[in-house]
Amino acid sequence: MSSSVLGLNSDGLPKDAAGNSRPVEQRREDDELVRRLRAGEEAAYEALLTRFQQPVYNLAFRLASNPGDASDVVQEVFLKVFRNVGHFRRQSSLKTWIYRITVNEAHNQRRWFFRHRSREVGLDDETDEGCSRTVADRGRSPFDCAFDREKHVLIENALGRINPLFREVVVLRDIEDLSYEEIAEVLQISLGTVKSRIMRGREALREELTGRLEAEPSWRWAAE
Amino acid sequence: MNCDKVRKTLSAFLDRSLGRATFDATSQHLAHCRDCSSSAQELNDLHSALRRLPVEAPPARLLTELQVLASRERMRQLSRGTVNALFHFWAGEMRLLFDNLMRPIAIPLAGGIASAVFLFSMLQPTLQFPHRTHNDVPSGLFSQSNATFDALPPFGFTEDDVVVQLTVDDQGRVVDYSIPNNVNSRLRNDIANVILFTQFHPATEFGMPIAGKVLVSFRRDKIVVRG
Repeated sequence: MSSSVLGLNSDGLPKDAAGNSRPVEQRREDDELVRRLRAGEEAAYEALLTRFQQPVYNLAFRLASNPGDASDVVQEVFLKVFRNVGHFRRQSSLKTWIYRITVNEAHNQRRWFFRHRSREVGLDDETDEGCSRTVADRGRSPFDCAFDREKHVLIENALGRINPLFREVVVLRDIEDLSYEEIAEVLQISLGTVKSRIMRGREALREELTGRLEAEPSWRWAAE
Repeated sequence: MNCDKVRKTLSAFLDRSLGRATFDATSQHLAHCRDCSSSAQELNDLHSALRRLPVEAPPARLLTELQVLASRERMRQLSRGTVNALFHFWAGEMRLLFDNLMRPIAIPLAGGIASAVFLFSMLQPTLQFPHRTHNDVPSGLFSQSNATFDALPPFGFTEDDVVVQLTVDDQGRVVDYSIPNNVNSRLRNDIANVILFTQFHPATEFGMPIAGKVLVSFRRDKIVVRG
């Protein structure tokens, strides 16, 4: 049976639901990469960085309290990955293992931030960098870029205001596109808790943005 | 399904993580309920907006730092293979640490030492003060009776060489002397005059003057005294 609501249909349910099947090929590649890392192959280190530096930075950027600290978080993550790859037991995928380290490091950074640096005021305004820090989309006009930037800033600010526990699951699910099972592995929580937090996180984010919608007519126009 | 139950399942509905029966029931409810459909649309818009957020590109500096980190960790990993590799690794680490520690202070340290040496060499002559150690009394040990003379007589000695044994008391006075028998009377008088006008310094024992014997060798131009 198919549904016209939101363009969703029930084809493939529940197998497609949250993509709970892990590709065997990916698993084999992970095992091979881990074996080469343990052997100290230079190409393996390069491959690991090429594959994970972008998603890890993306995740750290959105989970850290201060986006400027994302670089420190990423360095700590890869330091732990390199030093502990010998202890990787392959009970989860390499991706979820690295994401789990990233989430934990971001959590540590948030705690440190609120203890030490929450009262500091930086000289650099890192929130106003426009498209320079993001991957360029050559098909978009400057107007589109400016319009999207405004929208993205609204969403990023709303993400920063919700509970970090909810922010983690929303980022992992809606931005990093992890399945429920992968999120449960990353956060070391049950599947039911994942679903609950995703629902409450989205609801909290929607409420945050609803409040902003009244003050931002352009967003209302964009949403329509 | 009522609206409360549907709204609790909307998130899972959008993720298609519901069972088939629940999914169909939710779909049917949304097709007829305007409020729930509106909420579902908002959540769907939010989901789409989140997925369209730009991918944050890591700063170029971070990429370089990660390359350096990977290189170092790889060397560290390889160093665990053998003891020799481990030794070389830590030797390199220590050398790097020492270089990093010393380089910033190398020039100031060298300049400081050079300045200190230069200033000391300039000031050193003015720091000299007289030492009169040759007049010190040897107080710690027994010293042999090496009596010396303080002043020469006001006349010379014109005869042949001759050796005389003198006995000098603790006041530096000659109390006895012995002259070889084959000395004529004139030379004997000359020796007696010289002994008479010569002032001797007594020998010491633990710093105290004592009596002692000395051998005095009279020569044509000088007098040699041996204790």
